[in-house]
Amino acid sequence: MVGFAESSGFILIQQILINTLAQGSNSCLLAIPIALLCRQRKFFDFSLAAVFVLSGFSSYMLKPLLQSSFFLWIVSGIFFGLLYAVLFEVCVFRILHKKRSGAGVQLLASLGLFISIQGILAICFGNESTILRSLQHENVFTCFDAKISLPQILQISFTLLVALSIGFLHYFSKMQAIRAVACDEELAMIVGIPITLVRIMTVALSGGLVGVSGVLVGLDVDLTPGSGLLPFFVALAAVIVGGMRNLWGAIAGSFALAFLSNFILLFASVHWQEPLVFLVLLVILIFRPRGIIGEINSDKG
Amino acid sequence: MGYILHIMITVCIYLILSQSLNMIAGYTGLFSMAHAAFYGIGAYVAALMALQLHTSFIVNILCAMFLCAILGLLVSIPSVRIRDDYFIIATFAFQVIVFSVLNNWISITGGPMGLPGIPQPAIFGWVISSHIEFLLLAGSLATVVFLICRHIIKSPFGRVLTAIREDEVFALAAGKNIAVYKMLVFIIGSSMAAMAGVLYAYYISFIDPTSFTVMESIFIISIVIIGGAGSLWGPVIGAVVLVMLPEILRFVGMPNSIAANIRQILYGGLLVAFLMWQPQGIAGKYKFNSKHTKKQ
Repeated sequence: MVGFAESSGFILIQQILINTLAQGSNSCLLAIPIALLCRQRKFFDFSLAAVFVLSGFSSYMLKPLLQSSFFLWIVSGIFFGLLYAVLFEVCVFRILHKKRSGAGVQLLASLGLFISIQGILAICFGNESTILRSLQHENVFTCFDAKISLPQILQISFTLLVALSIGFLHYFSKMQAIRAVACDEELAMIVGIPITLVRIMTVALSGGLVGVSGVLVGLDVDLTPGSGLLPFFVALAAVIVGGMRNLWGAIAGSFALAFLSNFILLFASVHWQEPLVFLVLLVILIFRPRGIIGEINSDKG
Repeated sequence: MGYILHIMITVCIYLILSQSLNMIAGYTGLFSMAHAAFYGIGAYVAALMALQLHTSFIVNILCAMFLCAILGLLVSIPSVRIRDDYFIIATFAFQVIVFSVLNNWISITGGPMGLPGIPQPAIFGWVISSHIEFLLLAGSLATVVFLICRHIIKSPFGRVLTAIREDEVFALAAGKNIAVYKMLVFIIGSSMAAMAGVLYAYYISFIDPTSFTVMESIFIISIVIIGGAGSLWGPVIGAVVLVMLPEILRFVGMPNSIAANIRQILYGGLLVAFLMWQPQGIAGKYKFNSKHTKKQ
């Protein structure tokens, strides 16, 4: 009996670790673009939550074309994510940026954009859950004694690829330009960096990653018009916990929060998972607004 | 007639909510996303007290306001250390926590099933049962809130709030304890939101967590921004316009099934449009589009 308990406990720990890895990877795919974009725009952009759901639903519309190819679903996610993020930048945020709008105003505008998109999607697709692909439970594998689905494996692999790319991106001149614009836009303009192009490039890069995240989540579980807000907020919490100015901090924060939210399940019901994660965010914002790992702009902390 | 009275009562409730948020956001510059949380706490406190303890309307409203004042004090603490979007995120987190508690603490709040059968309010033996009587009550409370806000804004306390919004460092340099002022305005605003919540609970006689979501907070912010932040009449105009607008759509023949979504698209779109092209709102005095807020 004790042996059984020990073995079931071991399986549970394995499952928690696998879930942490999958959930953390998914959160990472959102946290990296949030951190990247926030460094440049200097506010938390809720329109990324709209890009997340829009990419998922737009790819869903192409379902007959994409069929069962995960590669095509990912390409579609990147395309739509990039498209919508650039569209929002050109139509809304560029105008607000030119008017020198403050962080709070731009954040509220991004929220307005998100709720409008949510309403439009609810009219087009209904408020019920939409499963992007009806194959969600057919590809479940056993890793040691824990279960893992194919979309989860894809999430982990894609995140690993993105994380590895971050290490190399620093050597590319375009990435250096993105960092320069994020640090000081006026100075970057003086040294001849094309600001508008770099801004669009950053937005496109972030949008592409968010689009993939939306599609992968849709393939793993399901999507509703409002389902972008919670993953966005968890990723945002990860960015704040990890520290704003550090992409590695965003990755570490994502896995830390994913572990915490899975670990909570050992003691509390799944319903309390969400509020406890936000309680951690609130405590960190009060006592350590600079985050645990990274640093933030001095005027914000 | 009943329909028109219902719209007027709803306007009065949103007037209290927007006027109280205007104190926090419009005059002090603290954009709070937790206003629906205080609104909800107020409603639940009153409903629970009425249903479990059978206490009177006045006792319930005072208790709800007191509890929200304490919670408002707690939520305002981060405002001392963090600003702008970080403060918005902190209040957003509080809103999510409150909603989750209302939704999941089933033994107390009834969870998604809510609390039905809230009795009609009675003030010193006067039982408010008809729409017209309720409009009198809601209208009186909205007027009281308006007058309190006007008194605060015209007082030296109000001028310090405006100074904090204009230039926090300057207010600090002038010897004002800005942390205390921020906390006080948050306490006042939260307790007023609780008052609106109590009115709502008694009026509808049934409450559930879906009435106090983050979308409700965004709706109240939209009223303040579209009406005009930093102005006493701005939230009044905003509340009338944003409550009436979806009702007008009904007469155009919009199906009920998509009415809620249309309402969402409308106020989301209006929020973006106003922030982009008319940041001072319809009747506001101050633009919120500049990195350093400037007087027009």
